[in-house]
Amino acid sequence: MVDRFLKDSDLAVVTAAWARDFRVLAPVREGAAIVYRLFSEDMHPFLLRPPTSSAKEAILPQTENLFTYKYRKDQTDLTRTEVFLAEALPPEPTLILGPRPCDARGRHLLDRVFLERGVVDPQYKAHRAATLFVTVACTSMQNTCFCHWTGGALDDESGSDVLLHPVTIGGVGGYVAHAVTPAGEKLLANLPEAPAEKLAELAARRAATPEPEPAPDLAGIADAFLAVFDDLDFWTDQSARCLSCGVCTYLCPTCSCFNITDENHGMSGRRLRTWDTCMSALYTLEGSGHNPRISRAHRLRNRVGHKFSYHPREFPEAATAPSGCEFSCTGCGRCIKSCPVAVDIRQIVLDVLAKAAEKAPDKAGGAK
Amino acid sequence: MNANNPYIPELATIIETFDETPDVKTFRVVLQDPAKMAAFRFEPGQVAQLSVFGTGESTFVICSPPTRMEYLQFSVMRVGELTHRLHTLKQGDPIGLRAPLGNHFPYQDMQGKDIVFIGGGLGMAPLRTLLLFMLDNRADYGNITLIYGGRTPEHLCFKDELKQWAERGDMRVELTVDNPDAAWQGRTGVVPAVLTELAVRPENAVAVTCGPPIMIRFTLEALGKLGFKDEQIVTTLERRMKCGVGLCGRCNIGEKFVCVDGPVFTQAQLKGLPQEF
Amino acid sequence: MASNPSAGDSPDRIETLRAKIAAELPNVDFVLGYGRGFDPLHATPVTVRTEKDLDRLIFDPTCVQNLATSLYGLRGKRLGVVVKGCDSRSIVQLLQERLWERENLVVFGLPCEGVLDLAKLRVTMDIAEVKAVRFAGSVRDGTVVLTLPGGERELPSAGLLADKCLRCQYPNPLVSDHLIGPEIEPQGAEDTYADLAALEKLSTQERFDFWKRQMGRCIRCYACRNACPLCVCKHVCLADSREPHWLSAEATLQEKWLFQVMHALHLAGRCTECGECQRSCPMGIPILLLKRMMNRELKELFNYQAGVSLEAVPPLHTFLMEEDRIKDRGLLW
Repeated sequence: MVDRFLKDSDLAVVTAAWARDFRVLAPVREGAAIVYRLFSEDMHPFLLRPPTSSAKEAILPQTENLFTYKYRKDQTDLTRTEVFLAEALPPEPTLILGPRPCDARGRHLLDRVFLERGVVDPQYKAHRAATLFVTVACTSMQNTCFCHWTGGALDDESGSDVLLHPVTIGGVGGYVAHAVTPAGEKLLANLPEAPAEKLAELAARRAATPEPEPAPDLAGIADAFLAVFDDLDFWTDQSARCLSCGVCTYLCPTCSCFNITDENHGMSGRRLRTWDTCMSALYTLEGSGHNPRISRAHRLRNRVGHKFSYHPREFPEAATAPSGCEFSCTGCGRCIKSCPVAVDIRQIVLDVLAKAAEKAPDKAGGAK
Repeated sequence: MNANNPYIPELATIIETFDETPDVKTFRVVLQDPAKMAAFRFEPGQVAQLSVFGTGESTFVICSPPTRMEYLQFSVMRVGELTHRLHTLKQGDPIGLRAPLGNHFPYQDMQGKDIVFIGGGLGMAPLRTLLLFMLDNRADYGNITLIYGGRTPEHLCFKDELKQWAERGDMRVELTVDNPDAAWQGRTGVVPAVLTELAVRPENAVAVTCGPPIMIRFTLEALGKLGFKDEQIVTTLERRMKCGVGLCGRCNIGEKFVCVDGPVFTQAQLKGLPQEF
Repeated sequence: MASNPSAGDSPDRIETLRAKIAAELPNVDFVLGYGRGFDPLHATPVTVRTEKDLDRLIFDPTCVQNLATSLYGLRGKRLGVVVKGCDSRSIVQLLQERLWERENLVVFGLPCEGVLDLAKLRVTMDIAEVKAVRFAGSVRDGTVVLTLPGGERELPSAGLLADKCLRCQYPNPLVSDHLIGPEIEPQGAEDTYADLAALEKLSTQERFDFWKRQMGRCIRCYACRNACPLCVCKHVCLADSREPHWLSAEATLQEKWLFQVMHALHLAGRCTECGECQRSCPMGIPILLLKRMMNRELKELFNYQAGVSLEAVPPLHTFLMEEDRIKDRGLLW
């Protein structure tokens, strides 16, 4: 597969061509945010900064029908009611333009839940099969980025169909478009081959990109978390600032928890799947009134635990460098950047390691 | 279960419904498709998500045994939105069913052993399925003892069956209430106290216990004092559930999901989980 | 994380704050204050339990969060809290509504000249590149000096302060047990509601289109609700209620808009315009406009501002037989 060249000035036209075959989601600036919108001809996609939200809405919509139902009185016996169910329609072919490598990698972590854990989720599977990711490689790390802690990188191809590498020198700005999958190659078929000087520019830029500060040793975090689990004072301090809202969860490329509710309209209605957040006080509230996660300390503990302990323990064979285990986190940093009170999950992870080491100083790395 | 889509309920019809206690109603349902009903298989302890379309779904143990498949029984306490709505349904009304979900009582490991059932209130529902299953396979099990209590005589579930079980001759039934009425002839006192008084022996025995959290807590203490090891104690866990198939993430305790790895757990397994109950 | 320099407040004032807090530590469960966040532009709330936590405390124009927000969720405890002038109004309101016991609160009041609005800074630079921040001169009239990879950039502070600071009439905390630092003369301009006027110049259809576009970005995260110090319903909020069922779970414009309207109305007479709702929104939706519109009406109808007087009763929590500013045209029923 040869690399192609997509001129910046051609971006809108090329996207419009894609929009003939796909429902295209592209990022645009709106106020202080960069959001995905359904592509329209007058739109010039904004690719210079990572979008505010992750790309997961393309394969896990925020609201989705699981099915619709309709009650009907039995006309021969009006005391009897029948109910009829209709499954949701299959999704349209979709292309999402503008995710970053950390967003594209999130696909694999969502796959773990919806395709690989046990029961297969047919709607997710259909969305997944119908959606292409045209990802933009990053040229530098923001101060909230930590993709390399989780095995990612600025130009990681994993989860993408096409990876667009920005090349901006020499007058004609644009992207070296690299097809990662056969479907991606089809998307790029009509683009010219990337000229040698652009490839050279890309190679030089990649070689010159400074190494990020080395990732801490996270090999022992799963065990360290369990060692600190019962220290409710620790978690109370970590969570005292937390607002218990859903910003971190909803913007996260790997958070997938959802709610199922019925919305009724007279004799018919639908059963919806909607994004939910384990940070909400209602999340584990039982019918009896008992709530095993009654405080923010419990809930933040569960969030951090799920990402850095429960997930690697559930999927131990999914080894990812540099830590040797897979986290349910791609290090995109949205949870840090957009958190109203600047909760920093990196700091929590480091504090957990430090606390575990404190509790068991004779064990290496804080693991128990 | 719908083989293609785990979220789509099977349609079922309520064939019978009656009150067990002032706030517990029993529902007996059959799948609308006779072929599916005939092919339906489940193990004692597994649960179902019952749907009232327009209101929602909730998790209930299938409290009839797989050895008696004329219907599936659910005994439901009226506590919240779905159960209030469910309690208004009548014979002939349709509901949705997603089942069987979760794991089951490890009855194979219990064969040849003495079984002690310890139940409180509606905790008798999951115990009923296992008890009837064992009674239908009586020769496979040793002595069977049921210790069951409620707040008042009115709050005991399955009252007719309790009488029948006491009269069978091949199991022991000890009933108790916190607050007796004039007609009550059984014991008075909390279930854990009766357990202690009976001094049930742990040798070659398994204890299966379900009930309100406070009862469970003191029952576990009592069982410990009687010499029961954690591996010998089996219970069921409650958790808010939605998808029932390990996808929505809600019912996790550590990396386990109560809807898939539970709701049946031994005390040993529970001690191995992050303590978040 | 390496400590991130952001020289702001005078070292003396910080030392005094730390000393006062240290003295009160035996009397409280803990103190809520500000610490340095993940970069020089972000502060984050910190809990001070022991003397060794004191070093984390800072106070400068990056300390935007309203720490009063944390209070209601911690009721039952005896707490200390650091407040700016605007934050103290939330405390006054909580006390007015008897949502907190005064004797269980130790208030460390810091007169404040203003805080930075990061949204304004984002217009001129990628704030993630800022390595250091310092403030030259007074917060009002001086400059903000930002160290970026390409060198330093100096910008007039006044252009970067939050809009609420530019019209602030209450720079000095209205309630405090310890007032740290000299009181400040109010420097805010009179509020002419120019932001509302700009919106009201639009036709109804244009205004509707404006809100459709803005609210379309909403992701129903409820950061706005949870950041509000007066939102005490928490998990029994009508937004989550199934019985009665006000809002569906769908992420549609109708549901998002209905929530904002209901939220604003529930804050009528209680909202102090601390602006945390808008600041917390990850999608930059200008929802403070709704509350300001409502507060303007309340000012006209009842001559009332929330969170200013401990003895006042919010006008919608009571009624008077005769209202000064509402002409009932002498109608008798």
